[in-house]
Parts: sequence; structure tokens; C-alpha cells
Amino acid sequence: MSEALVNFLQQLVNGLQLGSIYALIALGYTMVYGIIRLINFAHGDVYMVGAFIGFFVAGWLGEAAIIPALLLAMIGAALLGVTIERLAYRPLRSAPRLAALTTAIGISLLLENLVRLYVGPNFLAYPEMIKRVNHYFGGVLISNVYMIVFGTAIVLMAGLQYIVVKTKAGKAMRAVAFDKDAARLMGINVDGIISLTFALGSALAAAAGILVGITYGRIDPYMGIIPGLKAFVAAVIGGIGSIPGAMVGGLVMGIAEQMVVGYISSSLRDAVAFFLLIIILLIKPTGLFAEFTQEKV
Amino acid sequence: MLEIKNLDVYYGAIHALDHVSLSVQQGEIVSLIGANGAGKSTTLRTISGLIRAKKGEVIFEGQSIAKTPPHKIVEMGIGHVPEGRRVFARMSVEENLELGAYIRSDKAGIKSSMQEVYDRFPRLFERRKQKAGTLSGGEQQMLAIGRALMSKPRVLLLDEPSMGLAPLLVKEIFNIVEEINRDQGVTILLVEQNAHMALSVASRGYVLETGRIVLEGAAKDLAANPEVQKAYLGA
Repeated sequence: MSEALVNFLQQLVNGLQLGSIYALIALGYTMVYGIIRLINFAHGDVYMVGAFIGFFVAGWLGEAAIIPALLLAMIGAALLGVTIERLAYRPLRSAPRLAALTTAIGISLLLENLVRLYVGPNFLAYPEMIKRVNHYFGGVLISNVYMIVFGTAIVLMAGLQYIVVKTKAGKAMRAVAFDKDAARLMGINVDGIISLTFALGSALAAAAGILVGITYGRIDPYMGIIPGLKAFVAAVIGGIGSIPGAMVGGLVMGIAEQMVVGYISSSLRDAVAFFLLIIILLIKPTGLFAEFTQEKV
Repeated sequence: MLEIKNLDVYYGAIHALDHVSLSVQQGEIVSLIGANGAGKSTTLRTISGLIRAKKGEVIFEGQSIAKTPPHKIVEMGIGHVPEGRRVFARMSVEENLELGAYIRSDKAGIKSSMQEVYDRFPRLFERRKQKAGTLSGGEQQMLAIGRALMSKPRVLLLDEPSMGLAPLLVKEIFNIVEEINRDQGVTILLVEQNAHMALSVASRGYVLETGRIVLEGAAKDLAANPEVQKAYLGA
């Protein structure tokens, strides 16, 4: 293969990996928005807390404990997400939307500073949960870490898709997202389904946190801010409220970012997201998989 | 079977229901008629627990349900076909019916209930894989009724089933309402602006005017009442 092609494929592979992580985070934004029309700005921090839970689990159980770390982080983050919704958002359910949005920002700052209080403001080296082995496919580097990160993300997304499309709880989630009162008349416990939505979204974010820790080798209490914003933009690009949209939006975002870093300049890394946001808002403001197009009668 | 006593409901400062009392006996069809904004839907929504009364009682089979959450009220046996159908437009007909059976876990029973709905509404069977949003108004109304029946309610609250439908369809829907009452023994509380139709299928009726019950009695007496004729039957 020509060097240019190898280079392109390498950027694409890296972009897919990054994008799969954005997609995992974006799912939480889009699911929560879909169900209670709230942009949960604390979501990026739930992702950060997930990374830290994994960090501590590896500290107790040893570096190789990736599966317990992943599971415990997902469970811990799910509980955190449910608690945040119960204590901070539910009392504001019928308040103006701005009140809940402001509260979300408050929760975000609270989580960042609580973690900072406990671990300090500096980067921490992430345990090397996977011994890196590099594989080359026609010159394109695909490490085992890459395969595990990408594979985990895909499995989790497929699992979510299965839950939402096939299970009774998933159908109830879609019903609640579409029309809460009609869902109540079906006998659906709407508050319970909202809690479930927060639990699922938070668990996926926690998984993303660990995958990022493994990939980049370091974490800090503010690691959720920029990826959180980018994942939010990814959700908007995909069409906020749409689950396939969040997946595609995340991948598009990751690939675009990696291409810009690879071909233009790495200093534009964070600008890409907002450039894409502007483009999508100009061309198709409802996003690629528009969920909220028609007004409900 | 179902009784509401002195119900007071407010929307902010607006007094939507003012001391409303009514009762529905087992096996009856009772119609609640009145003009737009009289409080008919509010009455049904309060029974289902979607709105909370400020004062008054809702009693179902001897139990007070005024503070029971809506999903528990469905489990107790009250089905509600809301105004405007409110089908889940992005989901298939089949998924809508499955959601209707949300409170049930007897798979075989759910399947046979679904078959009953399809037998009653063959058009829904033809369109079972179609998104509910692509159905016509009449089909959506059939779906909304079928969906409510999936929970096996003992009482069915029907909110303006004739709204926006062509006269022939209205007749069809009312025939079905009577059938459901007769064949399945479902007690029905029917809210309608189409007073003529509503009184023709009901045994008793109530007339609601700006949040108050102003008349009640046997359906045929109400239909013969000059005031009702003047105000609601266009005579």
C-alpha cells in the first residue's frame, strides 16, 4: 500500500476508536434529552467518575482487573446517575427548563470539585490494565488496546440497541420519551423508566471513562469537560434524542477530529467539534437522524 | 363500581371541576356530555391519576384512588383511551398493543388478547407492522381502544372517540363501544361532544357545564330533555 493510503487508514482507525468513545458518552446525553428534554451537563463528569472508580478498583484488585473495574464502574456510575436525577432533577421536573439546566451545571461543578478534593488537581497515571501489543495490518497499526476499546464500545452499543428495541423496558423507554401521559395510561411507572434511562446512560459513560484511561494512560478530575462537550455536539449532529444518531454522530466526530489532527494541525483538535456543530446547525439543525421534527398534537 | 364525590380540580387559578360527583355501576355505559372546556377530559384524567384533585374522592371498587399513582390505577383495572388517541406514532401497531399489555406478564394471555383485538379490528391486523403514525384517524382510534383493552380493564374511560372522524366511522366506533360493553362486560364511562351518539349507547348520562354537573339521569330522559336538546343535540 502506498504511504498516503496507509496514513489515511491509520487516521481512520484512530478516528473510529476515538469516535466509539464519543458515541458511548453521546448516548447518555441523547437518551436523557429524549426522555426528559434535559441537557444533562453533569454527564461528562459521570464519565470522569467512572474512570476514577475503575482507577480505584484496579488499585485494590490489581492492574489486570479490567472486567471487575469495568463492571463496578458501570454499576457505580449508574447509581450516581440515578441519584443525581432523583435528588437534583426530579424536584425540578415541572420547573422551567432553565432551572434544571442550571442545576446540571451545578452538579457538574460539584462532582469535579469533590473528586478534586479527594485526588488532587493533577493527572494520575492510569493502571495499565492491558499490556499493549502492537499489530500491523498492511502497515496500519492496530494494537490490542485498540481492539479491546473498540470492541467493548461496539458490544455495549449493540447491547443498548437490543435493550431499547427488543425488551419491554426498552419499549417503555421509547413510550415515555414519546408521550409521558400516554405511557402512564399503559401502566408504565414513568419515574422508574426515567431512572433506568439515567442508569443506562451513566453506565455507558463510565465504560467510556475506563476505555479512555486505558487508551491515553492518564485521568484527572476535569477530564470530563471537553469530551463531554464534544459528545454533546456529537449527539446534536446525530439528532438529539436519537440513539442511532448518537452512535453515528460520535463516530463522525471522532473521525473528523482525527483527520484534522492528522492532516492539518493537532492544535485544531478541539475546534473541529464546534466547527461541525456550526455546519450541522446551518444545514440540518435537527441532526442526521432527526428525532424531534414534528410538533406533537 | 366507580364513584367520584365532590371533586374539585384546579388548573392554577382556574376552577376546572367544581364539586363534581358521579357514579358508574358495573356493566353500565355512562355518558358524560358537555361543551368544549366543560371539564369532561379533566374528569377522566383525574380518575386515572394524571391530574390530582384538590378536594374530593375517587373510589374504585371500594378503594380510594385519589392519591394512587396512574400506573397503579391501570393495574387496578381502569383503562383510559385518552383524548386525541395518543398512540405511540413512531412505534408499530403491534408494539402499541404490546405496550397496552405492559402490566401483564402472561405471554400466552397477551397473545390471545392481541388476537381478540385483531379480530375486532381486522384493519389493525393488516397494518400490524406499520408505524402507528401512518394510520388514518379512524384506525388510530381503533388502535387506541385496542391498546387500552390489552390491559384487560374492568372499567374503560373513553375520551371523545368520535373526534375528527367521518359520520360512518363514528357509527362504527360506537358500535364497537357497545360490543365491548356487551361481549366483554367492560364497564364504560364515555366522554363526548357528540351528545346524540353518546346518549344513544348509554344507560345513564351526566351533563357537565363549566365544571359543574347540571343534569343527570337516564340517557333517554336526557335525550328528551328540552334543555339538552337545545344545547347539545342541535334541535
